[in-house]
Amino acid sequence: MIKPSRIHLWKLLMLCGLIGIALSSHAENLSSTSLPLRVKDAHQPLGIAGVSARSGYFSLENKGTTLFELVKVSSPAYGMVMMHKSVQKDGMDNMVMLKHLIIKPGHSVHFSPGGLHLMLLKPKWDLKQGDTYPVTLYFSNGKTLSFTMPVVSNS
Amino acid sequence: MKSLRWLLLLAIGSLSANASMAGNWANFLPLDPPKALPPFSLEDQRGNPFNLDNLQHHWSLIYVGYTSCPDVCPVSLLKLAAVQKQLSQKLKPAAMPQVVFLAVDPKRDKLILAQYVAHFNKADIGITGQVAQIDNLVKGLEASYRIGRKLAGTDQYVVAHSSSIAVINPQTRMVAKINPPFDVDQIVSHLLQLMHPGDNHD
Repeated sequence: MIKPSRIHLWKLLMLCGLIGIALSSHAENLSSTSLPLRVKDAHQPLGIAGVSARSGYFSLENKGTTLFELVKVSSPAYGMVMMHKSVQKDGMDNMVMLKHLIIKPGHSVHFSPGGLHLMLLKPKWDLKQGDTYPVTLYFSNGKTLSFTMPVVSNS
Repeated sequence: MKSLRWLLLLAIGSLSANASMAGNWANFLPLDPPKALPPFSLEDQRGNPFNLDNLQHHWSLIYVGYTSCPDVCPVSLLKLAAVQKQLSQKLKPAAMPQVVFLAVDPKRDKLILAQYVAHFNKADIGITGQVAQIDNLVKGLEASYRIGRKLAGTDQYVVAHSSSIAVINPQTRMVAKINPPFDVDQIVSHLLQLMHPGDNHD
């Protein structure tokens, strides 16, 4: 028979464990689906008042043994989210839209200024520096991964 | 004898510094001969006329872009702001080059140009105007731009534009082009050589 004080101790340990799991998954931006993917360095520069298009950046690492194909990105904070890539060709800067993006096992893709970026259009509400909002990545295998995008200063 | 040795060392040091500088001009392309810019008639971000006269008596760095550009233009303008910051530690305010953002999408650019350029550097100048006048200057800069189709499901569109920065001397002649990737230290060093040849810019 377990003494009442032991029951409290078990409850306390279980609670600590749950808090620990919650904290670690938040720190690594892992969704509850436990995919072998890790999102790092997510941030959206605040942008400039009056300019409706914003950019979002993050790195996505595939720590698994199978390929992942990113096919869609969405967020409740924006009416439209697209994957874009800035390219330089023949002395011109241009942006091309990507319909999908492959992340090979053991590889990372980096959404960073001047390269891959999320094109964020039709904001649903005013975002201020320090705000955060959820972003969901959709993969061709039907899996999804959500992470938190913080809004940071432009510099 | 000792002073002669120092002089010799200084001369060797100076020669090797110049040699390494000469080898680093890959993204900074001087034009020989410099190219005179054609007349043009545009407006700055405050609605004041901006034409060839406004490029006289200053060095200018002109970058072609558009305000709805979410990724490349802000990166380039932030680099130019960093160039300005470094130059301000070496040059008197009157000798500073002016950064001019030539906005080629007037339909979207005109209303927000003032707050856009001020965001990067309060001293920056944004210019835009009628398409024919924009095209005059773009052609004179040997630059180009192309307005793309609307993105599906939105009224937004992408504008492809030249990626280089034009360096204009106080006689309104284009003397160099700077191609990306923009290295702030390198740009500052080359600009100082171009603006003040013969000076020691270490």
